[in-house]
Amino acid sequence: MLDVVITRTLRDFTLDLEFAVRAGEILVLMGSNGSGKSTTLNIIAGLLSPDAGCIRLNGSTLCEPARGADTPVEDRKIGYVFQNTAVFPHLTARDNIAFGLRARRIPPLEIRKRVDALLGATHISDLSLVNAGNLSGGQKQRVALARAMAIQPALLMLDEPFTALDTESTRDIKGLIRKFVTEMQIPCIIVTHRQTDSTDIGDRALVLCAGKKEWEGVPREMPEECLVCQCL
Amino acid sequence: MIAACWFTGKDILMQIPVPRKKNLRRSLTYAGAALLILVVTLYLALPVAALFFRIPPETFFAALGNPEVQSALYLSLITTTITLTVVVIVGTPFAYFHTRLDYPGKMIVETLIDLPLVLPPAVAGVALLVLWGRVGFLGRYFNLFGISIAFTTTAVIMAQIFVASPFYLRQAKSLFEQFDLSYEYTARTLGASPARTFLTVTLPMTAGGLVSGAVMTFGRALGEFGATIMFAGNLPGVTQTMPLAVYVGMEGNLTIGLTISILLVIISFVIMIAVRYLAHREASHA
Repeated sequence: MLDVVITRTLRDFTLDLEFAVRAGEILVLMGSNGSGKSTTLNIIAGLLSPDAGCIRLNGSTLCEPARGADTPVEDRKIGYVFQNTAVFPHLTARDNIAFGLRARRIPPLEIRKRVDALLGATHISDLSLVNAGNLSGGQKQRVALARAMAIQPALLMLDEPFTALDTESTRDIKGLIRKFVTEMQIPCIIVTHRQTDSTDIGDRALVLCAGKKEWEGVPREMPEECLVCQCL
Repeated sequence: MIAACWFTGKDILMQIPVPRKKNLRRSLTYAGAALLILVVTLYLALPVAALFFRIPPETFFAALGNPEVQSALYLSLITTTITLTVVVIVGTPFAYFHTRLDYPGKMIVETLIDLPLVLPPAVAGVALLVLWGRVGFLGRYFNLFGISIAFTTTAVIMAQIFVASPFYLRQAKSLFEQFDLSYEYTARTLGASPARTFLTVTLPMTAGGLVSGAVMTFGRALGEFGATIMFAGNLPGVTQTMPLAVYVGMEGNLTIGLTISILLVIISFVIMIAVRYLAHREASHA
């Protein structure tokens, strides 16, 4: 379970947000460019600090400025896939996926087992020894997703994960995310622009507008005025 | 004139009459450009080529065995290697912290990094002497313990570091500034410490550019003259590096001066080829 209450003054507006994501649930975060979606993910990941508020994950406090609590980024156990995938181009697909496991000093045999399973699940087994810099956008997205899943995160966050993918890959990746989130019973936040993505994969949608919650609910029930408003 | 048909995409032959005046202007522009390229190329290439024609190859190879040449070559290679090692080991983390951290006086440090690039090397040498000389601001205290820095091989290295380090620092600073932070952030969220992130992500991804900066630093240190002669003097075997030996040779034994000059030209060529190769590799990776 993820509980987020955050306030942070940004250049154009104040991000002021409160929401929760249950275990096994996928929350789709929507909003126009610059509405604070990625900043929200960065604050949860610990890459930015909130001015005030509290972030709790599975009962433990990740960040609460008032109490001086701030868990370091590397200890938050959050799988975060950036919009540009940030796949390390100097490493092979296999080494990319194993990166977090090596950083966490997991035994080599366990690393091999987990990486092989994820290479298979994301359908990139034949690319395991290819340098990630030479992969296509869709293949990089699969590597980035597998890499985030490899650390068995307590929370999965994906920033625009479907932009570089074709229709078939999008369907495939959505299925994979859903399966992972359900099996691991972890909360998941997906940032997307597309309304179809929210209805396909989201259990709940939250529409952001200039740092404030505009609407929250079941994606299919998103009101028409919200779909056509300036926020989307 | 050949052009592609806009709707079929096929090449078609079109005869578009070009006015005579326009044709003549174009030819004159091309001729002017060719002349300009030729003049600049010859201006740069002729003095270098003249060096190679001044002494016959057998004289050059015979002079390579001369103890003065060997001593200068040995000293230059040793000192520049130490200079490069110090600059890379200290300069890489310095450039990284300088880029990532905001601290008071950052702009002043930024200017100081670039200062040796515009400062005349002889002035740099005098400044080093005033600080580290036997009666210098700091040198006098070292002298109390019998430690003398000026006019030693250490002074050669210090002069080289002062003059050549900006080439590496500027390159490293620019690489770290342009580096996409999402790679470092990803590594951190995956569980890597800041040090591990730097060593396994940032450093390998900027390695090509850093090596290219290191090669330029090596080249600048190898050619250092002004600061060295002021701060370290010109003692054969101790502080007489290759550029200093060229200077001495040109006043006495011309063959030695020319031989060392040719050696420096060859090394400079190798350095430039290495830099171009690394820059090309970096560009193709990007």
